[in-house]
Amino acid sequence: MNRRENAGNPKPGSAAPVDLEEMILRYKPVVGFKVKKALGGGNPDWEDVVDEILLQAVEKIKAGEFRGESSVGTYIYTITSRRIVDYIRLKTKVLKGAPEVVPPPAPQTRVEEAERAERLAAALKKLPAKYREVLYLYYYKDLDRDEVGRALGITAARVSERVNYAQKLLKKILKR
Amino acid sequence: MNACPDDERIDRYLKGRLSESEAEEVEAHYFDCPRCFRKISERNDLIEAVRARGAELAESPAGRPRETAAPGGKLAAFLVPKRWAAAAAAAVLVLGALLLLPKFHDRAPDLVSSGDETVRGEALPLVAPLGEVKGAPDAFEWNEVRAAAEYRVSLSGPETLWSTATAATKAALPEPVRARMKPGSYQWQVKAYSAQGTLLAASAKAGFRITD
Repeated sequence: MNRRENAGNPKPGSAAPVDLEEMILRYKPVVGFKVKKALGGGNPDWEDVVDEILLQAVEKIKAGEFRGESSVGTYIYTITSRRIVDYIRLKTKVLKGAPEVVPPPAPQTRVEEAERAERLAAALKKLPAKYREVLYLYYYKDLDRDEVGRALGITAARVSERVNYAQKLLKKILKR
Repeated sequence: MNACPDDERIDRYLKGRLSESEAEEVEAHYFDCPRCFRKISERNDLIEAVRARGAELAESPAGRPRETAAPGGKLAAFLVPKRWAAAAAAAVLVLGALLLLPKFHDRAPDLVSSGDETVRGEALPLVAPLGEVKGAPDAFEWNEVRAAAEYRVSLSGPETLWSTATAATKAALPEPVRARMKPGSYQWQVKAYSAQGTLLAASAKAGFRITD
C-alpha cells in the first residue's frame, strides 16, 4: 500500500504527500489529550472517539480532501473539534425508542498509566516543603498565582518559578 | 502558527480559566507544536497527580522544615503539623474567601438523558486473536449476535488504525495492514448493528500482544 497519499500525480495547489502512519503516530496522543479533556477521562467512549477522528482524517486525506491550505495539525484539530461537538450533541439529543447500549468495561486495566501516576504521587511526597506547598495551593486548592503569592509572601513570578522547578525536581526523582 | 503560550497561560488553560476562544488558540497551537504539546501534557500529569493526592502533600513529613515566620511574614513551616496549625490560622483570612472560588475539575460534560434508560446490551464475545500471538493475525473472529445484520470491527495499536464492516462473524486483516504490525500490544473491538443501523451489542475492547 502506498503510505504517502496524494502522491503520484499531485495536482497544482494540492497538498504535499502525507505519511499516514507517521501522522497517526504523531497525532494520536494529541487528539487523545484533547478528547479526554473535553469528554472526561471517566467517559468510556473517549478512546472510540479518538479512533474515529483519526480514521476520518485518514479517509479524508486519502480522498484528496486535504489540500494543504492549512497545516496537517490544524486540519486534524478542526476534525477533532467538530467530532467532539457532534458527540456531545448526540448524547444530549432525545432518542425515542432507542435505548443506549453500554459496552461492558474493558477487561484490561490501564496498568502503565496507573503505575506512572503512583510513581508521580510518591515522588511528590519527596519534594522539599516549599515546593509542595506551592503545588498544594496552586493546583489542589486551585488558587491563582497572585493568591498563592500573597499566602506565601512571595511574588507571582516566584510562584511560577517554584512550580517549574518542582516539575524539574520531580523528573529527576522519577529518573532515579 | 501562533506564538507558544507561556507557563501561566498553559496553567490557566489546564485549570479551565481561559475563555473559549483563548482555549481554542492554545489547542490549535499544540496540535501544530510538539514541544508545546509535550510541555502541556507533562504539566497536566503533574496537576492530576496533585489533585489526586493533594491532601497527602499537607501531611507529608517536611524535607527541610522552614524557619518560623516573622509577624506578617511568610507562611512558616507549612508542612510540619504543629506549626502548620498556627500558620494555617494566620493564612485563613487570606484563604477563607478564596475557598469560595469554584474549583476546576475535569469532568465529563453534563449529558442529559431523555429519560430512556441506559441498558446493557447483549454481550458480544470475541474469539480470536486474544493474548499473545506470534506475528500479525490473519483475521478476527467473534460469536454471532442475534438479529445482527452487520458487524464493525476496529483495531488500534502502535502506528496502526484499521476498521471494516462485514455481515460475517469473521473479518480478514488485509495484507498491507498485517505487514505494518510490529511486535507490541493491540486492541480490537466489534460492534453489532441491526439492519436498521441500531447498535445491538458491543464487545469489550480486547487486547492481544504480538511477540517476536
